[in-house]
Amino acid sequence: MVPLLEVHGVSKVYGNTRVLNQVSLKVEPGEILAVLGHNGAGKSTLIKLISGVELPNEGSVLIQGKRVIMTSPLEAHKLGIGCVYQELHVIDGLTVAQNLFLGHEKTKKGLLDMQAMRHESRTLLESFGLSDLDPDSLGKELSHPQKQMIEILAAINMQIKVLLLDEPTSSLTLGEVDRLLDLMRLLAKKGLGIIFITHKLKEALAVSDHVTVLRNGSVVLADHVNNVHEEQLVEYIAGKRLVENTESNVSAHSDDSSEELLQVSHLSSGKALDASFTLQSGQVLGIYGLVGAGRTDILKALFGLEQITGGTITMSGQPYVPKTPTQALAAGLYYLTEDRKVDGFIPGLSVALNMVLPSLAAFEQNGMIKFRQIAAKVETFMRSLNIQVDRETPMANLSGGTQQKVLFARALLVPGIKILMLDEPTKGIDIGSKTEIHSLIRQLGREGYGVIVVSSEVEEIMAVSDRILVMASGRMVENYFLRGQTEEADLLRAALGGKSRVQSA
Amino acid sequence: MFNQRRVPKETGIFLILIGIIIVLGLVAPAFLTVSNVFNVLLNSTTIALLALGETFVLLTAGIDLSVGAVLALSGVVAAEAFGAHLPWEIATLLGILSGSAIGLFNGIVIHFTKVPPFIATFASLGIASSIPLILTSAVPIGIQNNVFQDIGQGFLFGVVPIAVLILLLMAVILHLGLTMSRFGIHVYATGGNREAARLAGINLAKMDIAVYTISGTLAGLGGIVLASRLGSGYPTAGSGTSLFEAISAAVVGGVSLFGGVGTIPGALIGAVIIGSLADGMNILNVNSYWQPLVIGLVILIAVTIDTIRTSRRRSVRITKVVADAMKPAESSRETMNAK
Repeated sequence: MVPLLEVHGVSKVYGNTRVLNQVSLKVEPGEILAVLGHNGAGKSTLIKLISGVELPNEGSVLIQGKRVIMTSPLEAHKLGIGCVYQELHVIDGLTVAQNLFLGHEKTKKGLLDMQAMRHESRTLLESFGLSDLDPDSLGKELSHPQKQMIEILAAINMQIKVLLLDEPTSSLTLGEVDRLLDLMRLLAKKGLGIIFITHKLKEALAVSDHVTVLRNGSVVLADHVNNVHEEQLVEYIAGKRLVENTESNVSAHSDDSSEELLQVSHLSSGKALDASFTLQSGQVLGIYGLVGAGRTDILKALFGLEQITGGTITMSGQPYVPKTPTQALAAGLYYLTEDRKVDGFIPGLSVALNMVLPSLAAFEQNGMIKFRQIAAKVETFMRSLNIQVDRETPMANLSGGTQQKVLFARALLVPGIKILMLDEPTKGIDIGSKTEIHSLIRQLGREGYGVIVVSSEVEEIMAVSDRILVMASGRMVENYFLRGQTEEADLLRAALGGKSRVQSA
Repeated sequence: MFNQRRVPKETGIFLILIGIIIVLGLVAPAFLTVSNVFNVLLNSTTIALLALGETFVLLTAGIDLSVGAVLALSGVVAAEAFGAHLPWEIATLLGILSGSAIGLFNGIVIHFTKVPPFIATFASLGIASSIPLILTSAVPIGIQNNVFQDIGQGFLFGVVPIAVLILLLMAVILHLGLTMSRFGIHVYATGGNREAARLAGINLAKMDIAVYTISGTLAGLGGIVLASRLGSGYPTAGSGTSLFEAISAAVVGGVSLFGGVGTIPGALIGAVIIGSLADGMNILNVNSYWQPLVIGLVILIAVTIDTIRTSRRRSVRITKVVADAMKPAESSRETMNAK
C-alpha cells in the first residue's frame, strides 16, 4: 500500500541549532502513529513541517507517493492534511454547523444554505457518536472537549486524509480521553491516517499502531506498538534510566516542628462548595479530582482571584480575606497557574526579569533597580534548580519544563512566601522534567513550605503528596492522611463520585 | 536593559536615520548645516514629546488617540491663564496639567469601565478638542510673555533650541524610568502578558492610570512648546496629522503596537526620522500635497515590518492580535471564570 504521508529524512535548522535531524516517518491509511518525545525533542517543529507552517531545510514530504512542497497551512489542507492544535480555534459566535463548514460553506444561488449545512452536520455528528451535540449550539456554549471534537470533525468534513493531533488529551478528563481515543479509532477504521503527538504513554500505547520516539531532533525508536512497552518508551524518551525515587523520600518533616499555616472552613467559591481543610508547614497537600471538580476554584479563591461566597480562612491564626493577588502575595501565598503560557510568564521578557517580577521591590535602591543583584540572585537559583539557559534568553524560547522551573524559582524569590499553590504543575511537561519537578515539590515540603498541589493525574498526586483530598462536583469527598496507604483505584473511585463522605480536617 | 551584552536594539533604526540624513545631505547640501539640523530637531519636538508619552501606552498594549487634541487644549489653557494675568510658571503648569487631567481621565475610564482604549481615547479626543473651541470661540489667543516665548523660540548659546533641550531632558528621564525602575519593568510586563503580570502582583489599575497620565502630561508639554512657538493658544492646533505622526514615530522607532516591545531612544529616533523626511522634502521643494503620502508610505512599511516581526516571534495570528486589540483592557476575570 502506498503510504498516505511519508516524511523522508527531513531536517530543520534555526540559526545554529539543528532542531530536527534526518527524521523519517510514514502513515498508512487506517493507521494511528503516536509521536512521543520531550518538550524540545522536535515534535512541534515536525508538526510545523507536515502542516505547511514551515519548510524543511533538507528532506522531503510525500503525499500518496508524490513529493509536495507546502508553503502554507492552507496548501497542506488542500493536499489533505488537517491539524488540530492544542489551542482550539472554534469560533464562539458561530453555531456548530457554521464552525463545521467554516471556509467551505454550502450555498444555494449564492446564498448560504443553512438547511443543508445543519442537516449534514447532524449526520456527521451522529456518525461519530456525537448526537448529543446540537448543530445550532453556539461555539461558546461548548465545553473544551466538545470544541475539540468539533474541530476534528471540521477537519474531516474538509475531506482530509491525514489528521495531526497535537497533545489532544492534555486538558481532558479520563472519560473524555476515552471518548477521544474511541473517535480516533473510528476515524482510522474509516481509512484516515492519524498522527498523535502526546506525552502520555498509556494513551499512545492504547490507541496507536506504531510509535515513533524523538529525542534531540532525531528518531530514536520507531516500532510497532506490540514490540514496545511503557518502561522502554520512558527510557527512550528520557535518554536515561529514570531513578524511581518518589517512594524513598517520604516526608522527613516531624509533626512537632510544623505549624498550622492555613485553615479553610466551609469555603465556597465558584464551583467549590463547603470545602474545609488545613495545611501544615512542611506538608504537601494533594487535591485530586477531575477537571471542573472545583479544585482550581479553591486555589483562585485563596489567591484573591475568585469571589468567596461562604466560609472563612485563617492564615497562621489570623483571619485572611484575599481580595487581590498583590494582597495574597504579601500574605505569603504564591499561585502557579495551570496554563503557564496564558497567564504564567511574560514571553518577551528575559528569564531573569520573569524570575524576579513579583520580588522586584527587593532589588530596588533609591528607585533604581540593581541589575547586578538580580543577576547574582538569578544565577544562584538557576544553579540550584538546574536551569541551564542564559538568564537573558526571552522566556518564550524555553521548553515547558524549564519555564516551569523558572516560575518555581520566581515563587521562592518572593520574600515571606510560606504557601505554594501549584495547579497541574507538570501539565504539558516531558517525563524527564516531570520527575525533576516532583522531587522539587517534595524538597519544598522538606524545607518547610506548605504546598498545595492540584492535579488530575493520580500518579502525580500519589508521588508528591503527604495528604490527599479528593474533590468531586465541587465537594470534598475524601480526605486521606497518610501517604503510601492509598491505592490509585480508591482515588479514582472517589473522584468519579463515589460516596460523599465530607470530613473536616 | 535586557541585553546589556549585545548591540542595542535601536542600532538598526539609528542606521536608517543616518542613511536618510546622508541621502538628504547629498541631494540637498542645505540639509546638513548646523542651523538646519537644529531646525529639524526643533520641528520634531512636539511630535517627539507626543511619541515619548505614547510609547508608555503602546508598551502596555494600549493606544492613546487623544494626544493630538491635548496639544490645542494645553496651549489654550495656558493662553487663558496668561489672559487672567497669572505668572508664566503657573500658566505653563496649568497647560501641562490639563493634559495630565485628560490622561488621568483616559486611564480611569479604560481601567474601570473596560471600554477598549481605542474607543475611550477616541471619545476623549472629541472632548479635548472641543474644550479649546468652546473656551475661545475658535479665535486664537495671543500670548505676550518673553519667558514663555523662549520655551519654543529661545536658543542656548545662540544655536541650541531650548525646546530641543527640554525634549532631550524628558527623553533621558523617561528612558531611565523605563529601564531602571520597577515601574518600567512593570510596564513591559503588563504589555507582554497582562494576566501573568496581574498574577505576579502587579497593580494593573495603577499601571493603566499611570501610562495614560504620562502620555497626557507629555502631550500637555508638547502643547506648551507648540503654543510658545506659535506665540498663541491655537484652538485647532494638533487637529491635523499630529496624532498619527506621533504614533508613527513610535512605531517607526520600533515600539510595537501589540505591547511589550519598544524603547524611548527608539521612539525619539523615529520622531527625528519623520521630522527629517518632512524637512528634507521641504528643502527639495517637494509639493506639500505629496508629503503626507510619502510619510504615509514610510509608516505603512514600518508597521508592516513590526507586524511581521511580532507575528513571527510570537507565532500569533494577526487576526487574533487585532481581536485582542479591540477587547476591553481587562477581560481577565471573565476569561478565568469561563474555564
